[in-house]
Amino acid sequence: MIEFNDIYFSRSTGPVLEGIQLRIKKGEYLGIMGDNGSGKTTLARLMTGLLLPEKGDVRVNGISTGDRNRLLEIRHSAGTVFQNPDAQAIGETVEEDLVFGLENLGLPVPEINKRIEKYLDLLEIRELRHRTIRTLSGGQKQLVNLAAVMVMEPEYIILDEPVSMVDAGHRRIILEHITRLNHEGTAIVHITHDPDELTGCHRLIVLSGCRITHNGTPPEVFNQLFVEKKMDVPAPFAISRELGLPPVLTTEALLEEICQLK
Amino acid sequence: MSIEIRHVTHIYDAGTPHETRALDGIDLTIGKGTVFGLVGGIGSGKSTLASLMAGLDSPSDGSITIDGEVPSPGKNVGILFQQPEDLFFERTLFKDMVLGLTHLGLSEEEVEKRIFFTLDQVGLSKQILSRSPFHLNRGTLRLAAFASVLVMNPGYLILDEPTASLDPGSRKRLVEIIKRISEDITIIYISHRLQEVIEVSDRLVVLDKGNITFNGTRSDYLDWGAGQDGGEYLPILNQILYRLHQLGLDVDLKVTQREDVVEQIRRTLERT
Repeated sequence: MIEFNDIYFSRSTGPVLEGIQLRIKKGEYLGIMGDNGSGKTTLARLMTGLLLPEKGDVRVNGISTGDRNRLLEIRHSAGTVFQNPDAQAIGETVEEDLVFGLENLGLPVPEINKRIEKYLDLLEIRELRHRTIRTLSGGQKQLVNLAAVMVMEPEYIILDEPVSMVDAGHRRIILEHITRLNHEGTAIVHITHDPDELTGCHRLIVLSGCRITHNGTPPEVFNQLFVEKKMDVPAPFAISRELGLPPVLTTEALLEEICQLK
Repeated sequence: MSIEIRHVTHIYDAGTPHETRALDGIDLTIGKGTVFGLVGGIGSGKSTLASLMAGLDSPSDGSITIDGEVPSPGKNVGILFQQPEDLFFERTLFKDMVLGLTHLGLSEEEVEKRIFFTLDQVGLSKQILSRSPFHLNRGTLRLAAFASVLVMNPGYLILDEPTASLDPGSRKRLVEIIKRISEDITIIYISHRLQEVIEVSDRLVVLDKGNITFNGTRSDYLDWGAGQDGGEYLPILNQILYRLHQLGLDVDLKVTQREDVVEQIRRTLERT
């Protein structure tokens, strides 16, 4: 479990997060939305000890992120894909980048190769294996960063706007794969501005004014957001509400509802 | 007056076993006064084409000219990079914005005048200039980065994923500004957000594995997108309309705003 106990964090411009209470259980799929500057990325950085809270403490599987001697344990159980694709790469080529973390885990070479092939295939980026990272586009780098975290097979994967520069085809592949990893037991924390990416999560929270303002299942939270008109909701959800149909999250479900009326 | 792209091929890691052909002999004319949407999957060649048009790299083969001249960043063309605010490094926003202008030999008053004018264009106040870029939120910084490119007065402006990682409010604001300035500047708009590309572009080009697979008007694009497997080239609202059309509902496939889509569905349901 990742626990936030009454967290306060500020910058010179003022508080970023205050009074944050949050529990992310093993195997959970949590979505996080919020405007720019609402503290989403700060929350992600607090989860793996990249930032430390001024008040309260953050624990990953019971280990406080303030315990610098056990930070490596935390980083092995929780991997983060950051929103800026240039901030993450370590190797010169894609392969070197993927090998780096696995070598640090002390895995034997055949196992390293097996994992790299598995995730390059799953994300459909096998052809990028020997490319120089600096010649890749933003979207390609995002896919490589995602692969670099997935090969480590951590218990928790934290995704901060993981597909903001990715095309619709790869976006679908990534979202399907995230859902599958989650079904196999990996906990997912997915931060995004795009509500259509979050239709598969178990729970959704919204950050606003340094606090968690909404916390519930996606239909519950989207319903509140739709009424408040403050934030985007998935297009099928908005259309079903505006037509007075039972609210639905996906295009498939919307088509079904409309066809029943026909 | 146009960008002329003639038989352009671009190869990465040439001569190595991992040679990649990012662009494969493309021809394209981008006329002045249009908003040109550039669409394509990952690895389609969009970002490569953008950097060649911006004069940041030269094509392996073929030629690119802008109004008859070689592309020269900061002179005849500007580019807004992906996540541009990460390139700010000065202590105040003003110092960052002045950087490009200092090479032009302008007087201090002229520099200030141009910066104030551009800030006004993007809806930011002068007060922001004395702030540190590290203390501003991403939405504001993106507008400031956009202003830093606009201040150079480019005739052609390339925007590579200009709204990535922005919240919906900041995104709408930026799209409105882009629509407004497109009356004076030719814009090449690259994005995976198809809804946005459709909204701003007069013409669209689709790249696939380094080749142009579509080049036409917005309306033609919607027809073309409906004919592609899985409808992945259509924004979600048009995907919904297209699927309803396939199910036998009489809906207009060319509307692009949510209110209009709802209205289309409501009307067709009333008729049945």
